[in-house]
Amino acid sequence: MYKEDRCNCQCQKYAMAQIPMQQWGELYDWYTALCEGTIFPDLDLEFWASANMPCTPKNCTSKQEALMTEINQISFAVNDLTLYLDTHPVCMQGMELFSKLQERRHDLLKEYARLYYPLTIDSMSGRAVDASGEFSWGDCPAPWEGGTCVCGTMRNAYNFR
Amino acid sequence: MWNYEKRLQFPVKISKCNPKIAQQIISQYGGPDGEMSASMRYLAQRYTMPVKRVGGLLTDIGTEELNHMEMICAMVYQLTKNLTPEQVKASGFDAYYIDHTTGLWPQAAGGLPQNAIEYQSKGDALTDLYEDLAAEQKARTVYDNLLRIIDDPDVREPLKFLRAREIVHFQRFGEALEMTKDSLNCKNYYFFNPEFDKQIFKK
Repeated sequence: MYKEDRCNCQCQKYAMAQIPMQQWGELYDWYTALCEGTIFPDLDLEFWASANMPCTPKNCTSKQEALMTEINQISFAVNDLTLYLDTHPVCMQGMELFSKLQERRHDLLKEYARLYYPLTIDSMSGRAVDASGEFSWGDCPAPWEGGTCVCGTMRNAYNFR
Repeated sequence: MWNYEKRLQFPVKISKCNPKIAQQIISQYGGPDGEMSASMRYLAQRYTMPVKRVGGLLTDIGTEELNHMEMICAMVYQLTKNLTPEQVKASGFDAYYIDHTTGLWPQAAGGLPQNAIEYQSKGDALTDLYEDLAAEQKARTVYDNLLRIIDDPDVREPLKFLRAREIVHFQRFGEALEMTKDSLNCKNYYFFNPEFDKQIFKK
C-alpha cells in the first residue's frame, strides 16, 4: 500500500485490483537503461521475440555523437526517475539521485548548445545568432532525420546538412 | 504549457527503406492503442483526478507518450523516405500513398483513421485508471505483435524500448490506483465517485 498505516480497517478484498508498490532497488547503468527502456532491472520484463537483443555499448565516432548519446541517456534516467517519484514522493534515494542527474542534464544541454546548436530554447543562453548571422534555433537537423546522434549508428543518408 | 526539445527520446536511425513495415508500425501513431491515443487520453483525464499526484503522473506519462508518437512518426518517415513508385506498388503501401503520398497521417495499420473514441475519459478516477492500465497492456500487445514479425534491427531497437515503457507505465498506473484507493474508504471503494461526489470525498 501507498501508506501502510492509513488503512486500519478490514479492507474489502473483492472486486478491486491491487498492484504492489515498487521497492527501490538496483539500477542499470545509464547506457543499459536507455537500451532496455527502463532504469529499473526489476521492471525489465522481456518478450521472447526481443529478448536476444544485446545492449553492447557502441563506439562513438565523434565528440558530438558522444555528447548527444550522454544527453539521451541522462535525460532518459531523469524521465524514468520522475515517474517513479510521482508515485514515491518520499523516497530519499530517488530524490538525491534526481538532483544529481537533473544538474548533469542541465550542464550537458548547455555544453551541447555552446559547441553545436541548442536543443532547447532555455539552453540557447544569449546565443540566438549563429556564425552565419542566422537565428540559431533553426540550425540543427530535424530530430526525425536521424539528427547527429548516436554512437556507431549514424547514417550519412539522414544527415542532410 | 510544453517546451520542445530537439531530439528523440530514443534515437531512430533506419538505413533501409521498407514501406511494408511503415504500414505496420503506423498503427502505433494513429491506431486505437497507439501513442497519440495514449497521450490524449491521459492528458484529458488529468484535470478532474481527485488525487493531485495522480494528475501529475498523468501529465508526465501523457507527455512521454508525445515523445513516443514522435519516434513512431520518425520511423514511418525514414522507412518511406525516397520511395520509388515501383516500391509503392510492390509493398502494399499503395492504398496509403494514394491519399497521403508519404506524408504522415494518423491511422491504424488497417487504414482506420485516428479516432477520439479511443481517448476514454470517464470522469471517475477508478474507471479511468483501469482504462489506463488496460491501455498500456493493449499497446504492449501491439509492440509484441510487431517484434514477432519485424526483422530489421534498426526498427526493432526502438520498438523494444517502446514496449518496455508500456510495462513501466502499467506499474505506475497501478501505483496511482493504490494512491487513489488510499484516499477512499476501503470498506467500499465504490460508494461514490471521487471526481463528482465531492461532498462525500474529503481528502
